[in-house]
Amino acid sequence: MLMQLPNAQIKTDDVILHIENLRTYFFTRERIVRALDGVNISLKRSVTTGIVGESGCGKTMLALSIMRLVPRPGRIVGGHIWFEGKDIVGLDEESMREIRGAEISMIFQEPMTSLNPVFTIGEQVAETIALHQRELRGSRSFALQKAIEVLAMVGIPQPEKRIKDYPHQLSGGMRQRVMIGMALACKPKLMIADEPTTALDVTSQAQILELMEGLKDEINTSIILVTHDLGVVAETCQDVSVMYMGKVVESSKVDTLFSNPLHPYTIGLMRSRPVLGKTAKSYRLKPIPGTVPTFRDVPKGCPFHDRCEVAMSICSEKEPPATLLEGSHMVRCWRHV
Amino acid sequence: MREPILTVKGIHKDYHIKTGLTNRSVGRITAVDKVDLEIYPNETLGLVGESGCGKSTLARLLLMLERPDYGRVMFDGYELRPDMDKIAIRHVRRGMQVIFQDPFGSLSPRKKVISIIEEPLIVHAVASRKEIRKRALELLGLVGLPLDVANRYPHEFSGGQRQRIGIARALALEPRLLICDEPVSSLDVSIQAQVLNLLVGLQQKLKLSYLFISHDISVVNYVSDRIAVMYMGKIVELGPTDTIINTPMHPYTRCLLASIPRVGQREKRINCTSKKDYLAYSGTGCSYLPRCDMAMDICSQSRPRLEEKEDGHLVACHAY
Repeated sequence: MLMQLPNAQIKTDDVILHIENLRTYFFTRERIVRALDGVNISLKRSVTTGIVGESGCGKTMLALSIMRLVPRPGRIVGGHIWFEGKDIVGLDEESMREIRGAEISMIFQEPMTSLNPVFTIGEQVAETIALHQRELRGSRSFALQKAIEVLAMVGIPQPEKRIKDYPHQLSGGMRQRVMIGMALACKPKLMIADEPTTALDVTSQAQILELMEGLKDEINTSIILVTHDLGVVAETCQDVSVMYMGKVVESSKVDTLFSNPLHPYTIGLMRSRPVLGKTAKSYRLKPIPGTVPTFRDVPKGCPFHDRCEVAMSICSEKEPPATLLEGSHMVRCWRHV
Repeated sequence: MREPILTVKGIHKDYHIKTGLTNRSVGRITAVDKVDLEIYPNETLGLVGESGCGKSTLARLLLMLERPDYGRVMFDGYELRPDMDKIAIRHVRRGMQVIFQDPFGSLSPRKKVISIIEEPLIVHAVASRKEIRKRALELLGLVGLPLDVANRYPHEFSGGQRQRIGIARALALEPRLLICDEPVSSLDVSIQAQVLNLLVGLQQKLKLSYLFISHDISVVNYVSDRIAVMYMGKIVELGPTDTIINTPMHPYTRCLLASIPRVGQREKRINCTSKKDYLAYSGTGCSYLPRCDMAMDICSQSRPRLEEKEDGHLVACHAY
């Protein structure tokens, strides 16, 4: 059963965010860098969607594009981001500010640099709340009270004492909890988490992932989890998209991706990862040959063809189309057209 | 019984917390707490633990890059003591080299690749300049870099390639022991696998021993013959890789293993709290006590010693 990916706008009720042919380019003096080159993703309500890829694949740019925070000299040059049926690509800055934080919020990888070192965490959480909940403006004590509730929600012990702490007095895991608290303070419909646990130890990572999972159900938020770790995706996400060179090369349900990966890049990623219980004595990791090409020399045809072990002659000539297979499994590979 | 190539006996390091104009010492943190270790020829000993547990400090102590407060290091028939002078240490250190985590900070940006690899050979004056150049080019080939990179600068390379340059430099003096401090942590998965396979291949070819430090147990599991688990400056469990992974004893090791996210195991979860919330704990008992789910009365009274419970399997826990 084969069909083309529908390009028409999807407006079903269970889709909260629909990204259509999104292109974000960077205009430097020498060249145009296509950080996102025709991305299509659909997010269902109350579902955690993983975005996987290696550094430079465009996953962070995707997150920033949804937030409309693409840094210069980059900008969104085409495509649509339908959020709750509204295209936010063309939205003016004023209206975007209403959405940011209140309806779509984001947490970043580095919890140290995302918190302001000269304000207490209580003040920072209260500021977020007051900004978006107008009735709380001008009422510092009430906003602080709210901040305590938020910190308690994300599992920070003794929040009424901790609001007086500065970011450097908290551990990495605790700081990330504060960030999550700020992101969820206004009960957004969508939270984007960009590598939220990469800087943390495995034990803290497990706690943070569990916390996000629990809060997702409580607040009924959809989550986009940007990560390089397939293990994290397997444990927390329901849907997943694999990105390579600014494109989604494969997307499906998580279970489908792990039981039946189709794109050679996805398969390569899985084989590169050491498996617990298997040592170099008994097997060898199969790394993907070569390195991710720089945007300076983007390969012609399929962007993966020069690292691909099953490449055919057509792969270096024409870009593979997105092919939709059974069970909403999408793959961009000539082998599966 | 084989002779170990490296023996560490009771190595210890405290850091003092200093304050004020006079640098008054107001307290101390034990980074490495009387650690004993042995590494055998052609063996990889993996060292795992969370950030701040003392893994990197231990590596620096072994190399005498940082002087331990007390303790001995025996390497390849030589003894290294904290009070030895630099020249004598440098002589012994020829045989043990190190690869660092950060492939960006550990290579001089102002030197060409070839000079970076030649530097240790020149410092130790092992041969004529001409032979040194020849040897450096050989090393490039050994780590899988094309020869035409010799005259380029580090910033022109990706993380994985830089790590290869670091490995070539470490191998220049034909060491017998390589200390790898988080060598693949900053690399993408596909590149990580390339570097891991390179290290495994080099070990077989050159009969090297590795001390492989990482916070990632899956990685340590892949390369190691034996694994040591470190917690707050102490080795809490040590044993053959299969034993540690399949039948871990120490509650901390079990917590680490259970925390790894993996495919198809969504349900199970041991709840083990993060270490940093308990850094302040300084009782007379076991340092893992505040996080432990199987603590007994004795755990708060005496500190468990690392003892052999099964053949080659050592655990520091009162439960066994």
